[in-house]
Amino acid sequence: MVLFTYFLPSEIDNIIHQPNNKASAYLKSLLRDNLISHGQCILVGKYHFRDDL
Amino acid sequence: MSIRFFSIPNITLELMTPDINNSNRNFCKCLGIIKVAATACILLSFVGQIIAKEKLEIRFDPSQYLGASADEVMDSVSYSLIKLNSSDTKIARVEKVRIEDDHIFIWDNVQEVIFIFSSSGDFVSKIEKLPGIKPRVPMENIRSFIIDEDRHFVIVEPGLFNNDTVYYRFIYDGKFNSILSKPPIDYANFIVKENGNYLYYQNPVKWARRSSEILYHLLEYDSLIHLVNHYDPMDTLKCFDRIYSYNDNIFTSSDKKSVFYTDYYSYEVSDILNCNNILTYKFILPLTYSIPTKFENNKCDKEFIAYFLEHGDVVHGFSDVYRVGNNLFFKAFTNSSERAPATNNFLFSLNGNNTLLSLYDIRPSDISHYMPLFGDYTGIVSTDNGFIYLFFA
Repeated sequence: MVLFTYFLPSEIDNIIHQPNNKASAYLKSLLRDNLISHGQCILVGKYHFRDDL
Repeated sequence: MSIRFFSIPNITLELMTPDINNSNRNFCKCLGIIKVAATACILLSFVGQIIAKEKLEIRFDPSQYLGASADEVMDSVSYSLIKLNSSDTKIARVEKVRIEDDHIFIWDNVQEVIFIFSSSGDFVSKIEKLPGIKPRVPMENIRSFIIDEDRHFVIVEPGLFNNDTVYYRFIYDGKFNSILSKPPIDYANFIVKENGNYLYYQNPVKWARRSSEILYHLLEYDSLIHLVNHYDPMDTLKCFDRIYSYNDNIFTSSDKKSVFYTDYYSYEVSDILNCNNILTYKFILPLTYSIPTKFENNKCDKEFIAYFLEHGDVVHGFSDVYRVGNNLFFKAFTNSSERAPATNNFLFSLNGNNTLLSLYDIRPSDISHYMPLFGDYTGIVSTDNGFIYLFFA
């Protein structure tokens, strides 16, 4: 089961500058490959909550 | 946790055989019974269908919740992007987002434009003009949209100041398809049911101005906007005065598995997608957090409002309700000055363990450093079908 949320461009810069974590690593790799530019994307987070809590 | 079933009493009709001595009297009696039967039939046909109601009681104590690390409550976290790198993708404000059938739909309510992206995040198209409409003032162009997943339409509702009596259907590439008649009701929030019919909630505002009673209606139309069913599953309230508007919380989730309706100052949340079998979650709170019973039928009293202002911990009601598998996500409303609104977002496990998890207290861990799902006025939310829905106040 999945839940989504999103991060606006204004939040993404903060995420990129955070130390190692999945979201920042993902964004840094896209930036490195010139697939995105600063402030020009919305990050969609997809969270799988456990069903047996 | 306990489950109760409520049933509507059956109407039984007595068949009479008139005897010779009392033929006139019995004939009249028979006639009376027939009238009752006819009235019942008319009433039932008007109401639509008999609705089975099921209630699931949830013991909810806002002070007794658990925190956890993200690892403990999540299986995985992944990310994807929506690219805003072209001149066509200048979004001023994200008011509503949906992901459906490999498309991402974003409504910008400042520009009154619907942006369409592919699932890989590339810009596809945008809906910015409605056929024949030349908006002169804000809120005249596009008011909102819903997605008809089965028929692959974006259904666009014209702006508040637009007097059009139609909706506009577009296909997923942004091209205009057809006009859809608007049902003859006031402003209504609506969804598309699994069978393709449209289910409307009739806004009670106008009714409230006319009467001391508010009547909530659910009206189901087929694709040609022919009335199919008229449901009236909600209680009638005796007042309209309120502190917060809950209007935006109606139809909070649209994953075709659950569509929730919340009420003013109520601890009941109803899943109304399957109108013939409405499941209601009834939250049972400790007295400290509950609306006193003396206000139960007197919710517009000044004393009632004053009570809320003085007792910040009292829960007004529930909103942002989503069921994802066995997890029920919800937001509790309070006036508390000590608790930030973001701390009122919870997950309740419906699998029988009665786990109450504070979403604010999910700690970052290796699986995810970010849990920004639940701000003061922002939240998720989505479900299996990939649906995002946020409000920014």
